[in-house]
Amino acid sequence: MILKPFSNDLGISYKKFQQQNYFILINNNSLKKVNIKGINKISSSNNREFIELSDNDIISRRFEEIPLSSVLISKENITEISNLARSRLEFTDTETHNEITFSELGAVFSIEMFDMIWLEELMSEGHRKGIEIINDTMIFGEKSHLFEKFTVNLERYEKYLQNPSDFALIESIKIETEKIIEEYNGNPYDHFLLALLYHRPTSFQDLTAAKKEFIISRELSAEIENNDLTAMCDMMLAWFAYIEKDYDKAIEISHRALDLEFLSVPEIYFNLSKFYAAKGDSGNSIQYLDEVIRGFDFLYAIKAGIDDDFNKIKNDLNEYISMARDKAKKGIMKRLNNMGIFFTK
Amino acid sequence: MLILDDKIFKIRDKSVSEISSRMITEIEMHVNGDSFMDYILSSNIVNELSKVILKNNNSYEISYRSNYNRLNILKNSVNWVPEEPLTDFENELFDLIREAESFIEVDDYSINDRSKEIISKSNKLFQEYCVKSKLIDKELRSEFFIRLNRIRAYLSKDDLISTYKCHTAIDELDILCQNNEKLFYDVYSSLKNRTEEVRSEFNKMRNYFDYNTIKLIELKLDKITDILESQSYEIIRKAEGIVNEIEYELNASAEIKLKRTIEIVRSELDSLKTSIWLDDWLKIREELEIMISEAESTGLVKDLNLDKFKTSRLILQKKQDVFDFIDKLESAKNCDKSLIAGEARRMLRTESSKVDLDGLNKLMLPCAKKEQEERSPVTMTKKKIFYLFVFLLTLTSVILFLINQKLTRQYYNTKGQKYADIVETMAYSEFKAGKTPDKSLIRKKLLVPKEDFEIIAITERLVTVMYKGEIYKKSIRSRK
Repeated sequence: MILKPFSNDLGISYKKFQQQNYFILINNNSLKKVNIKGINKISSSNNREFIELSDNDIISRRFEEIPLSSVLISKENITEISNLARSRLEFTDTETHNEITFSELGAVFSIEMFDMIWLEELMSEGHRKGIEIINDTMIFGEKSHLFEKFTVNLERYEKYLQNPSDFALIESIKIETEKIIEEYNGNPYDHFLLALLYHRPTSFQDLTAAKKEFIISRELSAEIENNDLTAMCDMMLAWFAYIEKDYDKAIEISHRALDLEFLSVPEIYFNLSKFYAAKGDSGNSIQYLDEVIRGFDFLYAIKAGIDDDFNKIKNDLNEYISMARDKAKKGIMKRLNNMGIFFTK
Repeated sequence: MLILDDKIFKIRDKSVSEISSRMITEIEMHVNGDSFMDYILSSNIVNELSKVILKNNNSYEISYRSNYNRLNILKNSVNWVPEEPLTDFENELFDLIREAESFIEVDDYSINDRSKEIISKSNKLFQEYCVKSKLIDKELRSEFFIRLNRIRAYLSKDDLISTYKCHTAIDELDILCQNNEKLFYDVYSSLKNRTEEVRSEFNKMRNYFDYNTIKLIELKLDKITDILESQSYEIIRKAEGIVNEIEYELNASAEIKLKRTIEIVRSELDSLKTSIWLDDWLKIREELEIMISEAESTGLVKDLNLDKFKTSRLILQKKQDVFDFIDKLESAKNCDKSLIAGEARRMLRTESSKVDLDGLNKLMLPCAKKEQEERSPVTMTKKKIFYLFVFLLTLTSVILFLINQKLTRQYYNTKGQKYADIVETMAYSEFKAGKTPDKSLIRKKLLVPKEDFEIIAITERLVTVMYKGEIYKKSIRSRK
């Protein structure tokens, strides 16, 4: 499914947005969107003040439910695209460990999945090297027991993401992580994990604290040239800047992430396009949108079409989509003609 | 609206057609949608379709089109309508053609492919028949079968007039065959044979041509092969010119070959001038010139070489002769020997005849005789001196031995007497002390080997000892 991204123009606070949008992690690495019943259960468990929601309170985010330009997508394609998007999230093979990374998901990624995707990304080459360096450093500094605790916390967090209504679990993970940091604050992954915990829409959500932890994590990971983690931190810091409506800051931080040549996170490109659109800068917005569509995933065209921030540059976006359509059409027709196949009106 | 250009879009196979139609329908649906997503989604299908079409086009050409063309060519050659009763050849050939047609007509490349072997078989049968029957020329062949059909038609009728007409037709057919046979031998067969000969000759002489010439000749030979299959005496006649051209090239090359061979063999002979005796060389040269003349007149260069003269043996022979002479010379002791040997060695490097060596041999004889004369007195003197030397040596040895013996005896005597004095002294002191001298005690005090010395007796007045086999006595001093 391609979901409408959060926008400052959505008419809802970020926390409320988070509280009505959950995914859970299934054993074989599938992600499943939680229904209203599940939403209420999770949000209530994690927030004592939460008031249960009804169907009408839920903001419609699925692209299938949002009218889109026929230049972008014709009605006949909606099912096919929908199936394609679902296949990136939900896997029928329960035996194998399926990949849910930023690059695999592409436009299907949504901010509420961030922690789950990050846990998967930790398996990647770049992160594993970084973790090994931290592990070695901590062993050398006789803090290996703390690293073990960190890995235990990761496993527990994964368990939490499989059942996000277990508030006691996330709370204990937070307390444990804070204790670890108190004893040794040199592990950027501890700070990153704590930032994610603060980011969750629980009763202890604190975006300022989350931002602070992301900054520390970024500094520590930059010191050891762990570009993967550094870029992850920048992605979230840019996101926070966006939520605070500091679009220039968001753009600056996004560029900083791209300067690390971190190419396997298409969402950074899309977010950059989104931030420019939020500013009304259609030129730059279209440029980065075009880059992410052509370089990573054509479904970003739909994501932009349903993102409220792009409404500010609607005309230019439509023009771009129209041009993209014509270009794609020309390419297809040429190839068909070379095969002796001609379509005439 | 969908339009397919059959010059490009050539799909005959049913299964390929179904697959491609499905794909095109799907693509058409997206084209009708005309949205950005439609074209993006169709790109995968277009990729697959292009692979299908590429594969199809290959199969179309290989399995269908090429076989179709071959079959058509064959059918063009078989340009008569056979009438009953068919000949064995017609039966077999037309059965094969029908079979090939049945495979070609099917919309399935794998079945089209099966026609390939049948068509090859038909072609082979047809070619063999044409050569065997000498009906190489298409027009004549066609005429032949038209007349044959006429004969068959007459035969099918059962009346007298048809029988007479049949005879006339057969006569006419016979004349056609005779004329054809003449043309077959004069034009086709003769050209074919000439071509084979030329090809064979060319293959033998390849090394004498440069790369471009070889390629040109090969092209011409291939052209001739094609012409021979042209089924037209008129066209085959034109190939004679090409054969002439090749023969001209080969002849020109044959002359070059002859000249080069003569040059080479003469040069080889020149190089042997110093290596073999001049007499042999002159003989070989004479014979070689005769061989060269023969080759020039016949053009055959196969045996124009020095093999039969066994030059390696002659080279060895000269060396052997000279070295034998030098060996013989070495054993003679003569102050002129080195000069003669040098002269002999020089012959190995220069043109020289056996006679020259014989001359050197004669020079060596007087030296040998003189040497023999001088050899006897010298030998005698040497022997004498030797014997004398030996005698004197022996004499000296004997004298020295005798002297040595005497001196040794004198030495031992002195020593023996001395030992006797020592024993007397010891015995005297014992007696003086009022003791009786103990022989063994006194003996122990003397460091003389046991086997050399012995105290025989010690009395009041006398000591007797034995040293080295001799007895020595000493009177004991008075003890007052």
